Amino acid sequence: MTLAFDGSAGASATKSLDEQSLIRAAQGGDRPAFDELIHRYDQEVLRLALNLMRRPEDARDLYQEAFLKVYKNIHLFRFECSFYTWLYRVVTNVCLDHLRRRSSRPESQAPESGHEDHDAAQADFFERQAEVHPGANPEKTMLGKEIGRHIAVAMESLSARERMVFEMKHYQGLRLRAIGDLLGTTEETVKNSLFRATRKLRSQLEGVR
Amino acid sequence: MNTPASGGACVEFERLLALYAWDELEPSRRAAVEQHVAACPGCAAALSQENHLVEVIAAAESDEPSELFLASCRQSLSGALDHTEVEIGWLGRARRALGRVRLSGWVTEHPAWSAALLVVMGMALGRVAPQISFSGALKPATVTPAAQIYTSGEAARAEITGIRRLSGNGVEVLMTSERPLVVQGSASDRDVRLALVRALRAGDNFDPDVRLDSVELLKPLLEDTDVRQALCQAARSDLNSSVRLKAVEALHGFEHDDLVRQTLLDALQHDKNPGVRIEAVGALRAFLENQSDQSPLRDDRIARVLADRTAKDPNEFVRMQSAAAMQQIAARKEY
Repeated sequence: MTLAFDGSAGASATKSLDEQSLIRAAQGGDRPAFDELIHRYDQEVLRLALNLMRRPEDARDLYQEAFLKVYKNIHLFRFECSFYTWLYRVVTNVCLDHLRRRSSRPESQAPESGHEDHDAAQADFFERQAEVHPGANPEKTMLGKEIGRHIAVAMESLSARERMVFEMKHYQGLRLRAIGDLLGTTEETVKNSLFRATRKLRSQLEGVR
Repeated sequence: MNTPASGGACVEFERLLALYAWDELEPSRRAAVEQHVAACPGCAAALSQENHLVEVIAAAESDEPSELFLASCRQSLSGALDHTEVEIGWLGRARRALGRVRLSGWVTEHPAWSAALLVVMGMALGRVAPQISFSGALKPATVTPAAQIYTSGEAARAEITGIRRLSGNGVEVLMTSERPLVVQGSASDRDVRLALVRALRAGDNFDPDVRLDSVELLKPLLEDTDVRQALCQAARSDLNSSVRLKAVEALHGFEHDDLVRQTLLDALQHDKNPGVRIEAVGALRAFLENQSDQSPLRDDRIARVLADRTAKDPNEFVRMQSAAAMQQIAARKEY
């Protein structure tokens, strides 16, 4: 009996499709197209998740939940805004849910520093490291990490929304108007959130350099 | 007159100073802030603090996910998506595809075209309706005894256009050749069964929905050799992954049959769709579990394929299930 299994040519063909075609293919249930589509954005999403949640295992959960939601709802995307905007609306909603859930569990809020479990600490450190570039300045990098740890502690004093706004402004480099669009709120509201966030951070970070 | 805030800045300018430092003020307000700061030492000091905060934050290292961590997250997501695909199934996918078509929106946007389309559809229905046979209230005037159709060879040439469930175990297979044909009966009736088997064997010639319905209706008839062979053929070579998945699922419980077992192993080893492979490995695990005779397996291909999938399958869940099946086999050897 002759065997004929499908999908052999599909993966390479989808690579050349533009985003709109990829979205339409993904809406029709084409998995390779969906995979290619999300691989365009998932590194940024994972960075946001990692900076928001601090713990790699939480970031992984958030990443997975967000993209499963995208997969289940992609047929509802109507091309009325950019796919990036739609995707980030889904992602930010999942992030806010996670942050709110976590704030109701105070024991899990502390960032990953001063680990009791040495192995876990090693694994986390390994997972968080970016590629080390030959030209990188080790002293500056160490200092940056030290400040990063202070900021991580200070961030715990922010509300979920303030934290989202701060992360998207600082680490994702988005303008406040765009952040408002993603969070489904006005630019003025986002400006207020950023102002409150900076006030809290300033009081927490007094004395840092 | 501006009022100094507790930190030394004027209350009216406190928020503006923070937004200035973050470069989030429009030019006119920016100019106003600069003009005020030039004349107000309290706000100048506060702006300096805001700028310092922005500098401190900018100096912080953000947590960058490593390539390895990203790859690991992608792999976990892929496994979760495979599960979701299986859960959604072909019916859900069809609903999702239909969900993209918003007829009401189109009608609202194109009223003239909608009216014209309705007129054309009405005229077409008027011409076609008298030729359509409806089951139930209307007399099944076009139902031809299936035996006669098959005897004449007409059904062998006919295109199967649909399958309609009737009350009880009844089923109607709708066909078109020189004239519309309907074969009516239960799935176990020889002539209905022949039509369903033919729908599966013809592969992509007929609509995937017809093939999916055929798999479902033939599932209780696995004792029949023709049915078993048709389902195995669909599981191996149907072009539609939903049909293959459903056929593999239908073969569940008949793994003791050599052809069925080899089909499941082929699907596990070669099918490109992870959902089909998950179903196949699940069926093999159930087979290993439920066998009353737990002596070492006579078919050593099972262990070979499972070992291969444990090591090489791109899907994490398939690898885990294959490894679990390997343990089941090892336990039998010890037994």
